[in-house]
Amino acid sequence: MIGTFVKDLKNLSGQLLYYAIIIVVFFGVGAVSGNVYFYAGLSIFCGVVAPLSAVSYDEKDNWDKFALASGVTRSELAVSRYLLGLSVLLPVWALSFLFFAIPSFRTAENLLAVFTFGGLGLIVFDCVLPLIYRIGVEKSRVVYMIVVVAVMALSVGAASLVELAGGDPARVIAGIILALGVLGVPVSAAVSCRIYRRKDF
Amino acid sequence: MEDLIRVAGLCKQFRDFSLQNVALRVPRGSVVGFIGENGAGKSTTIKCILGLVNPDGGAVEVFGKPVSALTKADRCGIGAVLGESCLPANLDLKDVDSVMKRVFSRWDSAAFFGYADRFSLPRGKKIREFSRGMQQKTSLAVALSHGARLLVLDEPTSGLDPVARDEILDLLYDFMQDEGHSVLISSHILSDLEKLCDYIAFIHGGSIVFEEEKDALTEKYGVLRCTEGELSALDPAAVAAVRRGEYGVDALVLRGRLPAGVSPARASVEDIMLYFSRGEHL
Repeated sequence: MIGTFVKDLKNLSGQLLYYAIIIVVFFGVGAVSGNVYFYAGLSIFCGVVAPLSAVSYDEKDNWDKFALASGVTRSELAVSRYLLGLSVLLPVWALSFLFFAIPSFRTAENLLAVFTFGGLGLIVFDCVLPLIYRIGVEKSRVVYMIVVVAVMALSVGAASLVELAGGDPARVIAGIILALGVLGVPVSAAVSCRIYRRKDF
Repeated sequence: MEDLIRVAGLCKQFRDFSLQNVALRVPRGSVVGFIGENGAGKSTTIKCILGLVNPDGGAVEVFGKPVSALTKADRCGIGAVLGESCLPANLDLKDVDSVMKRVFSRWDSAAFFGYADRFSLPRGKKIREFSRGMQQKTSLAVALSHGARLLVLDEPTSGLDPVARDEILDLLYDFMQDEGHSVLISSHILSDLEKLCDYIAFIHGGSIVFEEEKDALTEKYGVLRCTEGELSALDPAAVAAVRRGEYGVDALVLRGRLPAGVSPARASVEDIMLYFSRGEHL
């Protein structure tokens, strides 16, 4: 699994500069405009794009065939892309907390927004990775956009419901989304391993 | 003799193709050539042996164990070269070395770079900038650099010029100097297989037609050019397949069943494959 992970990092090394530039630009715009949402939403994008690109390269290079013939297990192969996705998503998300170094950003609303977007990033990641394994990269790109829109719409809908029920929607929704995102990782990985176990290469 | 690969009753059903009851052996210390037309089932069989395709039935054993029970250390003993290059195209040889040492427990960097130098593979270029021949040589260098005692090669010389093919064959001869080593190789270039192989296995339409010692095969069969009348005078059991042409009949015959005085020409492995694939069976 480490071999595949190292291969992915080397494969994507050419793109890392672009990721870094995007992160800096989004962070800068967020900081100047006083809007934490602008940057926090980036974690939804980064967590999926890295494994999507890695699998896209692997499909072109037939890496999975080679890796499986070389003793990498199907589960290791499936899980290695989770490792890659999380190793991009989590640091990008963690950088959101740098906003709180700026006094004007230190509000409960911003903190809940960061947690919510972290959870949203994880939920999209949890949904899209098994799809990449099941239907391939090309079809997954379309599904990825649909999942992002659906998750956002569900969050807004759920927030309205909580508000109607008289609760604190931001706090409840942030908690639910983050919990769903975190708990979804092992479930999603298990589904992906199952897909890989049955797959012919 | 111990078999490094033993396949028995292998079945796999696809929508438009199936492997039926495939049986194959690769004895220790031998080279087995796996031949057949495109789509006959060679690559699917090889993928079953490497664990890339889940069979519907039958047994596939490598080193005496079911493929699904092979450990990482066992897998390290198998060097695989699949038809297309399976190495990451964005990596150069140094990167490949750094990845492979984390994939194979017995990875030998010195051996890898030794093969790279022997094949004049440029270290600074990315794999995607390599020619097809260079990519195949890189794949072979990887397969030979982690202590493999069994090579499973699916079309390793396809698309290569004769010089590159000859270099690869030389490398395989070197590999076979160790009596514990074995090779299963599929190729459409039958002249290469005739030089290299001890056994030939022929698959047609998803079923194994024969697996025999190469020398026994060429001794067993001959090609007889004759007239229709001469053909009908032969024992039908002596005729494996017939091809009829404008100027007479060519028959693949079993030498041992021919009457005295009838001497067929030598049948090459290619002749035998063509007669079994395209000939008419009496």
